[in-house]
Amino acid sequence: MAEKIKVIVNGKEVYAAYDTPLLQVCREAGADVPTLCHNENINPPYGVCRVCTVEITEGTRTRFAPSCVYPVRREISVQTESEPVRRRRAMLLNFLLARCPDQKPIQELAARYGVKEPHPRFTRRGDDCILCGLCVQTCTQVVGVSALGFESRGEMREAATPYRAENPVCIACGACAYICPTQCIGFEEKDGKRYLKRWKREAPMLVCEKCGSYWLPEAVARIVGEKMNIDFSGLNVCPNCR
Amino acid sequence: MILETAKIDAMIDKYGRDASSLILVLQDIQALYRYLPREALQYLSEQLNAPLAKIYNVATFFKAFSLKPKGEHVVCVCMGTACHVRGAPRILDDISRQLDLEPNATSKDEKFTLETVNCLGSCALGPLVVVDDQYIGHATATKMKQILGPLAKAKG
Amino acid sequence: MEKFSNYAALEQYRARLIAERKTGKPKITVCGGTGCKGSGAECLIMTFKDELKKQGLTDRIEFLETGCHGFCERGPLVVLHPQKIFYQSVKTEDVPEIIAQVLSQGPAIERLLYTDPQNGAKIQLEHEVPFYKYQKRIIFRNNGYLDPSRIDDYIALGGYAGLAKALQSMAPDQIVAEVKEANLRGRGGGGFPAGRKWESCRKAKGSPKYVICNADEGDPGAFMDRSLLEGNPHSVLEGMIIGAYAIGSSQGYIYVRNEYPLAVKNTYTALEQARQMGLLGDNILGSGFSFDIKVNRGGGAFVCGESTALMASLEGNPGEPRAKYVHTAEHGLYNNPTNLNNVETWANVPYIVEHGAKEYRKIGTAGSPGTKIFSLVGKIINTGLVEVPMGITLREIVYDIGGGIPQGKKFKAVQTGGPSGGCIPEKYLDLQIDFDKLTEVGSMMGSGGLIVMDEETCMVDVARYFTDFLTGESCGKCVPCREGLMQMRNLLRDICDGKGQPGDIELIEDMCVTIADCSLCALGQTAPNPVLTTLKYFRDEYEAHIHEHRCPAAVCKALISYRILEDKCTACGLCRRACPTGAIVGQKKVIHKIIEDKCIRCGACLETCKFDAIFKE
Repeated sequence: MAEKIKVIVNGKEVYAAYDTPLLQVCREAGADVPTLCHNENINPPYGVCRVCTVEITEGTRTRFAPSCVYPVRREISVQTESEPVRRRRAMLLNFLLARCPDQKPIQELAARYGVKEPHPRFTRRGDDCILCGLCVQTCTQVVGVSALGFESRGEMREAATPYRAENPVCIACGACAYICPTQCIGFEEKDGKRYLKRWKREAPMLVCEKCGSYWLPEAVARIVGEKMNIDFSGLNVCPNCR
Repeated sequence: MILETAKIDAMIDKYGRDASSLILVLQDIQALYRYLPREALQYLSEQLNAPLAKIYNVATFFKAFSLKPKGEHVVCVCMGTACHVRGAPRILDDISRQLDLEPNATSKDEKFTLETVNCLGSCALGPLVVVDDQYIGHATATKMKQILGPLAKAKG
Repeated sequence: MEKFSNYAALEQYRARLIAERKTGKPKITVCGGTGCKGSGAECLIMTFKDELKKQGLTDRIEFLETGCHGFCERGPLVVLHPQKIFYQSVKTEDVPEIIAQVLSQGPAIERLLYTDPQNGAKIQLEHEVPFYKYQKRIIFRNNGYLDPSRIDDYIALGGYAGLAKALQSMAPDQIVAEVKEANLRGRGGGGFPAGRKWESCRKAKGSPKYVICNADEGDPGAFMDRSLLEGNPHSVLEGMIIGAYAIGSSQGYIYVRNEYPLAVKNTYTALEQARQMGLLGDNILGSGFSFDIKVNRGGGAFVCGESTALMASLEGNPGEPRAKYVHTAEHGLYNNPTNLNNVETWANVPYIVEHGAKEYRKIGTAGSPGTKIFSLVGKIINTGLVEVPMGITLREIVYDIGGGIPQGKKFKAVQTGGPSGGCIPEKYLDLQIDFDKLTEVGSMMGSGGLIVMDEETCMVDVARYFTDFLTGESCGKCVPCREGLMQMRNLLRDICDGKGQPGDIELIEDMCVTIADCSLCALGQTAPNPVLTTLKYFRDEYEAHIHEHRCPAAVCKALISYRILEDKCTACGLCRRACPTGAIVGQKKVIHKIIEDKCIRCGACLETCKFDAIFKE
C-alpha cells in the first residue's frame, strides 16, 4: 500500500507507511519513547516490558498499547508522555524496580518517572534479570545456536540453559552479555578460557601463536569456519599479529 | 536410566517427525515413565532436530510434565472455585498432614505425590480428591484416612 | 459400519435406524458422565448390565449408558423410558427393585424420586423436576437419549442432518450469512460474533485454513464443555465440519484439557466412527469436500485457553500468547487463517443450519440469541449444568432451578466469568443475563461458570483466591501480569492474614489500572475484574480486615478463633479426638477448652460437635 497514513504524535502531524511499528513512527517524529526489551535486530519484537506503552486515540476511542508491536494501519492520534501514560509507565517501572532493585539501568529509567524506590508494600525480589528475553532471542535468531531458553512460567520464570547446566552448543560469543539491558550477564577471560558465569560456560579460547593473547573462543572459530568455509589453521594468529 | 528408544521412535512416528509433535510425544513419555527423563529430552532434541533449550522450555512450562519421578500413588486435590468454597484448602491441609508432605512434592520413598489441580470439572462432588484414577467426592479427612492409610501400609 | 457415499444413503440409514428402534420395549438409561461416575455410576451401570443378563432380560428391556444429564448433585441418575420416570441418588442395591418395577410396569419407587423441598411432594417425571422444568435444553436435548460411543444413536436422533443440508443445498457464503444472521456469539468467554469471525477467515488469504475447537475449559468451576464433549461429541463434530466447509478449511483441531480423560476418549471414538461412515475425511457424503480433525491434549496451562497461546501450543511451543493487533482469522496457526471457536459455540451450529437463523433467534435476547449452558456450583442446593435462554434472571437460576442456598444461609453474591469475571451482589438478582448486561455491571459472561456464594464466603478471600490462581497460571512473559499479579496476590494474602495496612486498597486499585491496560493478553487484562468487583460491592469487608482485624464472614484463619461454649459442652470428648494438633484439653465430665496458640483453625471440632457447643468468631 503506497498511501501513507496520518499519525499525530504529541500534536505533530507525520505520515507513515502501512504496518510501520508505531514506536518507529513516534521516534522519527521526535518523541523519546523508552524501551527495555526492544532491539532492532530482533524481529518481531518480543514486546514484553510494556514500557513503550503509549496512548492511542482513534475517533472517540482511546486505548493503551505497546508501541513496539502496534502496527500503524489507520489514522490515529498518539500521546507518548501524557499523564495517563506516565502513570502506567511509573507503575511498570515500580514493578521492575521491586524485582531488580539494584540494577542501575532500571533505577535510572524509573527515576525519570518519579520512582526512586519500589513501593514499600511491594515484595522485593533482589533479582538482576528483568526477563526481557533479549538474550534468548539473540541466541536463537541472530547467533542461531539456541543455547538459551526460558524455564517454567509466571513468577518462577527464568532465562536459563537446560537444567541450568553448561550447554555445549553455546559458542561463548558473548552476544547475550552485549545485548542485556541490565548487564547482568558478565563474562571474563582468564587462563585460556572465556567464562560466562551465569550460564556456567567455560569455553576454551584460541591462543595467538605470535603474541600469546587469547582472542577468540574455539567454538566461535569452528562455527565461522563451517559457515564461511575458512581454513581453521589460519585462525591461530590474532588480527593484530596478522 | 536406559531409555527405550524404540518406544519413543514409535511415538514420534505416530504423531509426525516434526516440532509440532513435541508436546504430544512428551505426554506419552510422561505417561510411560511417570516423568520426563533427561535422556529422553536429549534424544528428542536429536530426533526432532529441535534445540534442547526449546524442549526444556516446553517441559518446564506445562504442569502436566515433571522432571522428577512422581510417586507410585498420585493424590490430587481439586482447588477449583467451587471446591474452594466448599473447603478444599482445609482438605489439602489435612492430607498434607496425613502424608507429611507439602503440596506439589513427592515423598522420599517415592510412594506418594501430593498435587493440586485447578478444577477437574466435577464441581457437584466438591471438595474433590483424586487418588490415582479414583474420584473421591465430598472428601473429608476421615474418608481420606480410610483410603490413604492402607496405601501407605502396603508394600510395593 | 456403512460408509455413506451420498446424502440419500445417510437418510435411508437414518430411517432404518428409527424404524428398528420402535421396539416398544421399556428402556433404562443411566447417566455415564464424569460427575455421576464419581458418585458410583460406573458400578451401577455394571450391576444393571449383569443383573439384566442374569435374569435373561436383555431381549425384553433395553439399557443405555448416556451422556451427562446435568443434575450432578443428585447422581447417579436413572431415567426410565418411555414414561420418563426420574430416579436420583440410585445405589447398586436398588437395581433389582428397579428392574422388577420396569417389568411389572408398577408404580414408581417413591424413595428414589425427587422430593420437592417446598412441599415435600414426590415428583415422578424428569421434565417436572424444578431443576429441569425451568431450563430450555436445546444443545443438551439429546444427552440423555444417546450413548456417546455410538454414532447410530446420534444419527437416529437426527444427527448430521444439518451437515447434509449444508453440503447439499447451501453454498459456503450462505452458511456464513446464516450464522451471522443468527447472531451466534462465542460461548467461550468473549462473546464475539462467530459469523463475523467466520467471514473474516473465509475472506483471508492463505492456505491451508484451519478450524479449531477450544476445549481447554480452564475456568475453575466450569464444566459445560466437558459434558458436551463427553456426552454428545458428534454435535460438536458436526458443527466443526459445517464451519470448515463454510470457511474453506481442510484441517481441524480439537484442543482438549488433559484433565478430561473421558471427554478425550469419547472424542476419539466419535472421530473414528464419523470417519468410518464417510462423515469426516475425504469426500464427505460424496460432496467433494474433504476435512479431518486431529485431537491435541492440553498440558495443564490455563493460559492455553487463550487463542494465540493455544495455537502456540499446537505448534509445539510453550503457551505464550502474542499481541492480537493482527487477527488470528487472518494469521493464526502456522501464520495461516484460522477460525477458533469454543465447544458450545460449535454445538450451536447444526441447530442454526438445520432450523435457520430466524428460528434460532426466537429464543434469548436480541443482543444474545439462543441459550447458554451454565455450571451452577458453589453454595447452591442443586449443583449441576443448566441450559437456559439468554435473558433469564439470576434469581430464577439460583432459586427456581438451583433450589436456593443450602442450610438456609443467606445469598451473598454470584461470580460469573471465572477468573476474568466479577462478583454480582444481591441487588442484581433480577438482572436478565446476557453478554451485554453482565458486562454493564462489571462482570462478564465468560465460559458460563456461575459460582454461588453465601454469608459464609469471605469476598476478600475470593479476590485472593482468583489472584493466586492467575499468578500461578500467568505465562510470565509480560511485566504487568507476571510482576503485577504477584504483588497483588501478596497484598491480598497480607490482608487475609491480618497484615493489611491502610493504603493497601488504594494501592491495589492503582495497580489494577496498569495491569488491565498494559497486559499482553486477556489473562492479565481481565485479572483485575474479581478484585475490582469485590471492592466495588464489598469494600466494607476489605476495610474490616485491614482496620478492625476482623473477617466478617469468619473465614480468614488468622482473624478467627474457635471457642467452646461452656454452657453447651457435655465433655463427650469427640472434639478432643478430632483435633489434629491436640489443642483441646478436657476429660470426662470436665468442660473442654481450646488452647488458642495450638489451634490451627481447621474447623474439625466444629464439624464433629453434636451439641452446637463450638463457636467460630
